[in-house]
Amino acid sequence: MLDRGYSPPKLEKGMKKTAPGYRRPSLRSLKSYSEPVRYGYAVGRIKVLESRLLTPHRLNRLIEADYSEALHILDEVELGDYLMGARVAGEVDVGLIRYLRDVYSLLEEMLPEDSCLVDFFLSRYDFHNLKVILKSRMDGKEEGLLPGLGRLEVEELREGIDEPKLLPPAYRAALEEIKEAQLSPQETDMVMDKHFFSYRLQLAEGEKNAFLKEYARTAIDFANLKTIVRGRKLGKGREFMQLVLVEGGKLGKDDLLELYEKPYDEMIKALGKARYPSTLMSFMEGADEIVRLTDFDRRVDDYLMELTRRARRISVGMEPIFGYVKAREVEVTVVRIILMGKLHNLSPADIEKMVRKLYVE
Amino acid sequence: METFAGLSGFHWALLGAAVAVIGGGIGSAMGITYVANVASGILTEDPDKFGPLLPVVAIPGTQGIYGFITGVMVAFVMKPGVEGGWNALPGVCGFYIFLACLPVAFNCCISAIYQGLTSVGAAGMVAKRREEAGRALVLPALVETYAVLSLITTIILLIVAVKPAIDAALKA
Repeated sequence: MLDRGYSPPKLEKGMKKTAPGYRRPSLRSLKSYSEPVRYGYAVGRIKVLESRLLTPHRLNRLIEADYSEALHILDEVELGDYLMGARVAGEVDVGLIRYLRDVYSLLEEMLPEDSCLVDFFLSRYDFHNLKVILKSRMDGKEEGLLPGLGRLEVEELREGIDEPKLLPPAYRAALEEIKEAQLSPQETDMVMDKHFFSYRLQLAEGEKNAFLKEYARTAIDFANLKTIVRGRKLGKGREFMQLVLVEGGKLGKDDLLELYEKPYDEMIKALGKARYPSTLMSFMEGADEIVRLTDFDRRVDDYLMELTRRARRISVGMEPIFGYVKAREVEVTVVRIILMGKLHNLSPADIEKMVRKLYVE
Repeated sequence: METFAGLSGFHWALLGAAVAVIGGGIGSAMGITYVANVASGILTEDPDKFGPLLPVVAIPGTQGIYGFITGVMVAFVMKPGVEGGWNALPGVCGFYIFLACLPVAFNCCISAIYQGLTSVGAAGMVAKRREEAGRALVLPALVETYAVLSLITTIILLIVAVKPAIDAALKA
């Protein structure tokens, strides 16, 4: 055998003998071939379940109907079983939470174990619950907990706040930042949101899915815009914005900080030009802040739904599954808005203004 | 025994048949896996769709059959009808057989994989509308065209070009 002067690397204790990265074939690098294997089963189930989603036609009937008629119409879809006999707002919420829980359990059941999609959806409830628990320790009120929806149970989160080692690293980092800075309830809210959005982006990057990354980054942009408006209203300084703005969006954090100190008109113009339609930016003007932010939330939801709908042309992969779960979430939001509107005697026209775009066209 | 590039005619013929069977087989196995995964999800929710889904799942399997047909043709049709049988086949003639098998080997492998991906979309159509099963099958069937053309090409090359060349070489 010829001696080519090559000597194999020495393996130190504990090192494994593996091929270098470029020599190791990875099925996930051949994405279009591996996706049908990873997500094929889930996509198959989704294709059938999609035909049971709330349609725009049914939605219009719901808006026009009175409360009891609306419950009858909902009997035609799966949601009806969960809302049977609901007479007050609390019962509607309980039914809708049960329904969402079942949607997420189905998602968990059909996805491969290494998929981040379940975390992508459920982490929101964990961060929300952490926020509620933390704030309740500051002001004594514990309102709005969403038990059973997150990755972790409420009790586990409570224990985690006292003993952060028990929590996943992303949750722990959020708690540590809040404890160190000794923030007010409102600031806690914003910092927790920042960690939630960063965590979702981290999950999307780990999954190496272009659509998921795009979604997470767009959501960060909108969260930052909302933070800017709230920050200006509260008269917060640049340092505070530095603390709460989320990195990783398409609009750079530094650019946003620069715009933050500029007059409204200039800021709106610059943001409108930067990326998003000027109709989205119009929320910054107008008189009533609550109305503006509610309207902004609706427009953001519609924009994100449009983004999700665009991914529908992908026949197999994570995108159709994401679209389905998003469709179910929007369904819950829309049905809640309609039923609460009916319970508060709002007119169909007023309800229609608040309703979000559905996944099904 | 006359060899070509170090291999005898028999070796080249075996290699050609093997490559055709392997190519078609790999493609079909991958194609069927893709669509079968989706079909199993659909059947979990709606077991009544087994009938309309079966052709959509089975269609990427045909390329494996084309590879098998090529292998069988090489074994039975191309065997020299002279004393000594395969051992009498000159190396260069075996190489011709190998070349003639390549259209099936490559085309069937690639087309079956893509047909599997197309069938996934077709299965989605069936999941939503059972009555669309016929139309859904047409779309992956279009990909089949190129696998069929490769099989026809291989058969024509073997019978019209390679077989006479072998006969001429053996007579000489």
